[in-house]
Amino acid sequence: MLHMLNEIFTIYSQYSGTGIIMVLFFMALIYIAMSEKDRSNQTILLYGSIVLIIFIFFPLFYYLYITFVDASTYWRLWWLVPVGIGLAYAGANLIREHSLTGLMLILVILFLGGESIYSGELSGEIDLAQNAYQIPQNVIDIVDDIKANEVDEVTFAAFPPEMLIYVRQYDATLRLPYGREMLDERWSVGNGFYDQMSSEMLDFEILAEKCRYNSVRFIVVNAMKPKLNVPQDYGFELMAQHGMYSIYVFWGV
Amino acid sequence: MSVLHSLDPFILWLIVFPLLIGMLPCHLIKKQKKTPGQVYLCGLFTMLGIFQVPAVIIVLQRGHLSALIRIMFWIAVVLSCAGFVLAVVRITKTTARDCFQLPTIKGMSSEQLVFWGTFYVMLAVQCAMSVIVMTSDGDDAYYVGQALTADVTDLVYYFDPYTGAYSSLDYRHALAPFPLFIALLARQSGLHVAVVAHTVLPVFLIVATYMIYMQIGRLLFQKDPERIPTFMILIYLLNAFGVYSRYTRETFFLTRTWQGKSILANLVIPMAFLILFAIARRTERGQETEIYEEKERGTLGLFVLLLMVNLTGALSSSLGLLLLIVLESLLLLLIAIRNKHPMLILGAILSQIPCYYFIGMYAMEKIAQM
Repeated sequence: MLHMLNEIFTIYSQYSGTGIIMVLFFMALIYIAMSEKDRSNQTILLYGSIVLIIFIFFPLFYYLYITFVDASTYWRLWWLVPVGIGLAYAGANLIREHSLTGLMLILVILFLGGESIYSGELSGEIDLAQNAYQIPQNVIDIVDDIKANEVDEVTFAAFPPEMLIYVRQYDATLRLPYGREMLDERWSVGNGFYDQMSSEMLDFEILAEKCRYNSVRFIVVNAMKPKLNVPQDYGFELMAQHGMYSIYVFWGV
Repeated sequence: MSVLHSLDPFILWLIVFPLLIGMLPCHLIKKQKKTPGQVYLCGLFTMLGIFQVPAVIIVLQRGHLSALIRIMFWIAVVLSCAGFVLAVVRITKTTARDCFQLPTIKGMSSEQLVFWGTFYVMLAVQCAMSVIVMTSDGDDAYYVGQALTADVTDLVYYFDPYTGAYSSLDYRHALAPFPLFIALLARQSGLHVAVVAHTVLPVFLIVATYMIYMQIGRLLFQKDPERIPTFMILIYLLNAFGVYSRYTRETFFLTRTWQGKSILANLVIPMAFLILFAIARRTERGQETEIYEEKERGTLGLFVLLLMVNLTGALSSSLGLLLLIVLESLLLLLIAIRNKHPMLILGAILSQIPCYYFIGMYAMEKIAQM
């Protein structure tokens, strides 16, 4: 019971990050409790939020959720709490009553508490789009090059880890011997080919074996990585160079 | 010119169909004067909710995308025609002004005009940023990959989107086939799926999200509508600076706009809140309000709309169904107690039928695998 409450608090603290926005939300709830006269607004914003928060912290529900659903997604229940609506409602009332001071205070707290979506520190990798696909241009160039030189009815190609999420977003006709599942330890079941492609030193003797076994015609490797042996000795031919990436065609399939 | 031409299907599927279809649920809700925003949102959720039904059937049959598009196109056409006829009948019986409440700046103070102007400029910037900024997220390999695979092969959920290999049906994702709606838009427009998902669709989804908040603002500030623009600016700021952790709704809103879980968090859940607000208002007792003559009437229509929202939730995320059950059950129970209206509990159960149905399907599949 206590350890479950502890886990729920841990999930809450992960969700709330700096905690300032949530503290502000709880203050907004107190403000609504003291000043709100409208019955429906009270019902949804105040009592609704309280009931939802109590429910999220309810150990029995947590136990049922992690047993029958998935422990790693419990934080999504916080999406149900109307944090944004509650804060904006209280804020709009405060600004109306205390004009500019209220607005300035809320802006200052917002800048301190949250982070701009475009700063990218918490929201993931963010960059200016290089094309309308919003896929890195080097991935598009490499895939186009492979498609222009394909010799098989179905083309198999192996890519380095950093390209795995993009390749089949751009061209779903390419077949990969391993995919994005390799990047998540929850799903990854281990793949010798991926291990070789992601290792610090490229061993083309083993890569040739893997290509032959998986019918892979093309491999894309980071040209900066040291090579244990000469690719050409094992049936690879350098087809093209795109920035820091080399495309090799394998003739041993 | 060809780029403009390829935008036609987006105008059809994301503007024209929702506006016409929206007349049907709006009629059930019995609101006297509808705003275009209300009609649009009712139509969008009805269209997406209905899309879930043939989409899941086609997915379970491992059918073809082209068949799904054909079925959905004719459903949308029939519903749009019915909506159009309904609008014409209502306008001829009364006047357009009696039926619709078009936005106007008449009677607004200069302060309000400045606030609204600021909000719309910021919204335009946010939409522009969604076009010019690229975010990288691993889940795209599934969502966009699945949509592109369906578009290229015409077979739905037949292949593993990560590798392209044949795969068995993954029920958790198969029961929430929003990627097929992206594939539909791509097929109809001739644009690449990645362009649709990353560049075009987010603009429509961002605007739709703010339309929901605007309707919520109208209900919250029914007695003091001058506060709505301030409310909207604050909602905007919270969305723009709401990345207080990587898990928040706001983080998903602008970095994964096109993914099912973001649609759940930023469209479906706020829309469910809007309907719950409306139900709370309409079932309030002993208190005369400006909409007194509409009280109690149309509550059934709101539950029909909630059913459509739940179906849209099913379309966007399998896990979302559980979240919607929690949200709606708790809040409708609360409203039923506060407003002394026990029939709301029955409404909650009936409108959640899609949630129970799809969760039941998923559970049965899980048990069968054991």
